[in-house]
Amino acid sequence: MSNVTKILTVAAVLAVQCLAIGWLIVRYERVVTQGTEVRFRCQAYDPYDAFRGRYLRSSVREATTNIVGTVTMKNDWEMRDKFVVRIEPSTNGLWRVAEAALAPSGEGLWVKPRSSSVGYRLDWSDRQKDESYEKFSVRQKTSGRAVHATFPDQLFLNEKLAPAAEELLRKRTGDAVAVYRVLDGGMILTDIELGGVSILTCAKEAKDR
Amino acid sequence: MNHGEWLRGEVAAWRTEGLVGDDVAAAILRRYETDPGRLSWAALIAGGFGALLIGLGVISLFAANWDVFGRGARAAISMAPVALCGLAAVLATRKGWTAPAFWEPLGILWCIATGAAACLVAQTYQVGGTVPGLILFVALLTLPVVWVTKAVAPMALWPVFAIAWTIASEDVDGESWTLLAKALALMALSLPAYLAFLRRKPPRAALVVGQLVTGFVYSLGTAIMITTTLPHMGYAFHDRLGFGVCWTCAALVGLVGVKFKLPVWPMVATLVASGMSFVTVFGDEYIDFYFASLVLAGVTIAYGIRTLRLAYTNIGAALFMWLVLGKFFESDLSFTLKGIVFILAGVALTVMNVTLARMKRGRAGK
Repeated sequence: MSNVTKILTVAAVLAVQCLAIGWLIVRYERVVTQGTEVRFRCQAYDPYDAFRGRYLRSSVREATTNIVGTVTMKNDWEMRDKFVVRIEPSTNGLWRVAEAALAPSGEGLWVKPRSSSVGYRLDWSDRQKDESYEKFSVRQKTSGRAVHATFPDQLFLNEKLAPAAEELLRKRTGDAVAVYRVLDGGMILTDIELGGVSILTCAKEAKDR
Repeated sequence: MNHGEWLRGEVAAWRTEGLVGDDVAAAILRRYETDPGRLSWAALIAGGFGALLIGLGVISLFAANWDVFGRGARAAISMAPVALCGLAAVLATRKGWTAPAFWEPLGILWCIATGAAACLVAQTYQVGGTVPGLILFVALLTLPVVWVTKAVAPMALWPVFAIAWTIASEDVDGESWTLLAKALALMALSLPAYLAFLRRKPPRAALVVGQLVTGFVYSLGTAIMITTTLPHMGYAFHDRLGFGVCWTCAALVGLVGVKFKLPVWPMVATLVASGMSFVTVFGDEYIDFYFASLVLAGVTIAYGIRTLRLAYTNIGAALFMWLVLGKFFESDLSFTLKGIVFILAGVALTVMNVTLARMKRGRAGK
């Protein structure tokens, strides 16, 4: 191999790396800067990722019984992760999942959830304390089939703020709202808010006190 | 005393004794003189270690998630080490640099920088994604780096990406034949770099280190990938499958080593198979594997005696003693008797080593 070919090969390797990582940057930057901002109520806690550092995990799970088109529920497992959902504004500045389909149909803001599954509208967590399993099972079956969707759930943050953020989330569980940016079916978690204020701001104030 | 000093001393002695003339002595020294392209062990290890420390330090800084900088600045900072390593490689290629003491640390640093850049971008843009996805992304970006830098450590350790991806994917998607096929295909991507490494006929030290690491990775690593991805057929069968797969992978590595005269792979294969055999001493459910392990120990000892290779004899003897003594100590015999047996085993091992060493010296003397 001549020296010129070797130089070109090494340069090509560098170019491919820069293009691959650059594509990742451009793709996500578009969503973050141009996407529609949406909010969902969430639960959140603070685990750890060895590659990407400390993060908050937000649990946003929405469900809808409004399933567009003729969807043959052959097997719940086979239908896993096949749905897209249309989201629309709800009350108090939050959004909700309006309908689910195998492909976007019609107007509206359609997104591909992080995961989707088919099940009953009622979950076992909806069982009341003094309700028997048999009674709940009947009630569950009559609640109808629904598509359950979960949205992106990892918000990476400064490791110094993570303990304060975790403490705040534990105290104000019901206040947490996940903030997303949505564009062309893609969805990125950009923040978690407590009472309308970014968790990062709250955590910084709590840490400084 | 290194080889260069030894050779100069010997050549001087030959000249004094009149065995070689001045021309021949000079030709011998020229042929084996240390050249700039050869490895300086100290420089290579220091350079490699330094690159690893720099890389790990960079990752630690990234993981702290600098709030001081905005998204754009953080993305640019994450790309900077990758760009610098790439530019250094381009410049070095242009100047015709071939010293391993330069390319080895550069290869290590470039791979770490690539991984760190991917992780930082994922962190900056809250790219949730999956762990298997991130591992695959980094693996595919670092493979060309392995090829162009010809660094030994990245070449030998790259298959670990395939193993990590397999384990992470099984965690997400569960076991399946499809996953096994994909895992083996990913592992196979490492082979061209390994074959190129062998074709280059690297210095012995690099060859031994590269062989040692790849031997373990290809035998044990492939076994881990197969046992992780194969659909479970019941707990007991899965354990047996694990034994069988591990020995099969070790045997394949050993056979390839023998067939293609790769110096270290047969030893690595023996170590991996013997290591697996150590666990057969516990319990009676896998008595068939226990007896197979005894056969392995016997064959290894016999091979070591036949070829006067103490390493094999000792591995076989250690395995044999563990298998026998392990079962012996599980029994209800008195501690006194157990102690005597233990001492006798140690004496037997020592006598065997001394005898073999004498036989080896005797053969060398002839």
